[in-house]
Amino acid sequence: MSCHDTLRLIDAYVDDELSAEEAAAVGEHLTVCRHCLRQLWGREDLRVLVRALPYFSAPPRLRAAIIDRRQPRRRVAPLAAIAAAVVLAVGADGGIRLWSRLHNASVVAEQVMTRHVNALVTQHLVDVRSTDQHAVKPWFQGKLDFAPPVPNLADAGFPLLGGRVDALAGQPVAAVVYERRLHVITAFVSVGDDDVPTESTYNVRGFHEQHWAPRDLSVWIVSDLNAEELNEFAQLLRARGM
Amino acid sequence: MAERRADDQLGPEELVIQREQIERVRRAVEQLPVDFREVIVLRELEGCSYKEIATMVGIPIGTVMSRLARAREQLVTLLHVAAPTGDTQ
Repeated sequence: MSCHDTLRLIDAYVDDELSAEEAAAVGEHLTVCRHCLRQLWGREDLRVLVRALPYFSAPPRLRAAIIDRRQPRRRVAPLAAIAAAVVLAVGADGGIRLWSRLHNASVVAEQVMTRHVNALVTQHLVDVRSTDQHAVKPWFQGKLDFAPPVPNLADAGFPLLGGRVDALAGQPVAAVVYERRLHVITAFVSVGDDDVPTESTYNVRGFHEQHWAPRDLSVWIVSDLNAEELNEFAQLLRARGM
Repeated sequence: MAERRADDQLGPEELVIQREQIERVRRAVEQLPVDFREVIVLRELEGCSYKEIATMVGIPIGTVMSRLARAREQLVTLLHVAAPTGDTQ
């Protein structure tokens, strides 16, 4: 997808109003284009700013429609949560700059899900297919500037499928792929701090995700597996060095 | 979107800054033309879907999309919202 098309759809993407195919295409573009990613951040920052308004009068002609609306308010993030997470400051140009770890978390979580789904849809789960950690770990050598841990969890019911090099926010990452029954689990491993709260869990369109940051690494795991078993998987990974 | 959890807490100075900026955002929303303001209020503060907004305002969904996009562009300009310029890592 081009930048032009991405920016045309960016509002509907932020609002979760695109079809799954369109959202995947936009998400794919955002993993490789920092210009469009920054536009997305601008939109997400704006959303946080507007939603932080404690009150606002709707235009008169809409008040009756809002009052008559049967469904309760939804999707609006709790003000207390926003207030606790948002730091605003005035820049030298008088503009508002929003430092929030929220937008990074949601963007990265969305991209993690998109890359996982894309690999499933394109059936490009792994570049090196092996259940042997000693075959998968060396395969990353020369492809990444770090050595991702590749624990063997077969004895715990999470056999290794293999690995591939993928990208998140334009940065190369190791995707280490496991399975649990028919569920595929991807562990994305990269270097550095992605400014996302550690020890965090997410639910993105039915996919469960967990994020933690061991030493100087960043780990994201994602799957459609139930939250309990994914948590068990996370604990095993962490106990074995990831 | 993702369920979010944040551990940050604001200090007294940050709370003052936040109050000032909330007022600034409120004024910016008030400056929007009424057609734009109503879609922003319905979307961001009432949590309506595009379809619901289209029904309530009596406009096609495509118009909801374009009004929201233009309303946000205006707010970005009014507030000089600056996207982070650093790397994501």
